[in-house]
Amino acid sequence: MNNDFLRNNSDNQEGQNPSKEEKPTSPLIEKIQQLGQTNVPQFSSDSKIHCLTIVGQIEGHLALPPQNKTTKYEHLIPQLVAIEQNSNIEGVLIILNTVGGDVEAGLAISEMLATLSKPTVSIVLGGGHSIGVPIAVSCNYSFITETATMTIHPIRLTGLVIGVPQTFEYLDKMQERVVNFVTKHSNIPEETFKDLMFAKGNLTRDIGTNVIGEDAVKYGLIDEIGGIGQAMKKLNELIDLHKEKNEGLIQ
Amino acid sequence: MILYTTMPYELVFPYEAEQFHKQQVVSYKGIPMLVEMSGAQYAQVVRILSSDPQHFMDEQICPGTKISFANLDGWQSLN
Repeated sequence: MNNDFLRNNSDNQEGQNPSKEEKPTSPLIEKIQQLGQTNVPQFSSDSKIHCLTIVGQIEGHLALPPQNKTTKYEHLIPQLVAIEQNSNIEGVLIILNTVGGDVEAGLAISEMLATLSKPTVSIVLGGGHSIGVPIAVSCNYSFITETATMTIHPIRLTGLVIGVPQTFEYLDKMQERVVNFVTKHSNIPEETFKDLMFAKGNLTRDIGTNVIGEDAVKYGLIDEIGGIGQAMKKLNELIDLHKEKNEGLIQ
Repeated sequence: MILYTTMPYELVFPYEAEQFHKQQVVSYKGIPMLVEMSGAQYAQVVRILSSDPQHFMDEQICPGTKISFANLDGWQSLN
């Protein structure tokens, strides 16, 4: 894999492309159109920190058409399994900018992250709404940028209504799962989380709360305010701690 | 138009099946990615699904690039 990468680089330097993917009219113009810049920084070695971006909607049992930006759990879960098994990977960074989505898919991703034996750090950029909340708190340490928001609201229904009492009970149980997960993996008390979830007047004509950056830290939902720099620093610290612990066990 | 119904949106307005065939998940040089068909021979990279940040640095597969069907690892669809 690494050799492959290096070879590709040398090909580029020679200005030749042996695979002849396509003949672009001007490679420079092509690059500007694709990335908005002409030079992409190159690293020499493989990364020991992997990154998972959870963007758009979290897709569950129903496949959404291609115009929707989605994060599919059937993509993420095998990647997490591979990360767990690959000894070269030392830590995982989770970047969240999601509107939420399928509750069970979101909880599945959260449980996978929470049980990963390698250090994990999450950053909420922009938004980590709805089912994005358990994903954010599932990591060993969580960051939120100052301007990012997280909407906490009760579970809503998009499926068919079978019968009112049964549907209500089913939804209530599902909601308990989310509340339990969040309170178990973060410092927020159950009482506070439920208060935020059922608060009136914060969201127009709906119940719930939109928690912004600093408030998320104040409530104990997220550990710290910060961006990519702080997150990488924390992840490296956790990796060092993890290594020390493993070495200690061998002795 | 306002539609008052308890039926989910997807049941009232089903998605067109052909929309799903436009984009496919493939593996190219061992890197999983989402591609959109453009013509019979080429596919355009839409999104790289790898978790390795280095894969995002590879100029040959950055989003927007056209890749040939011939170079795909068996043209496997993960969907």
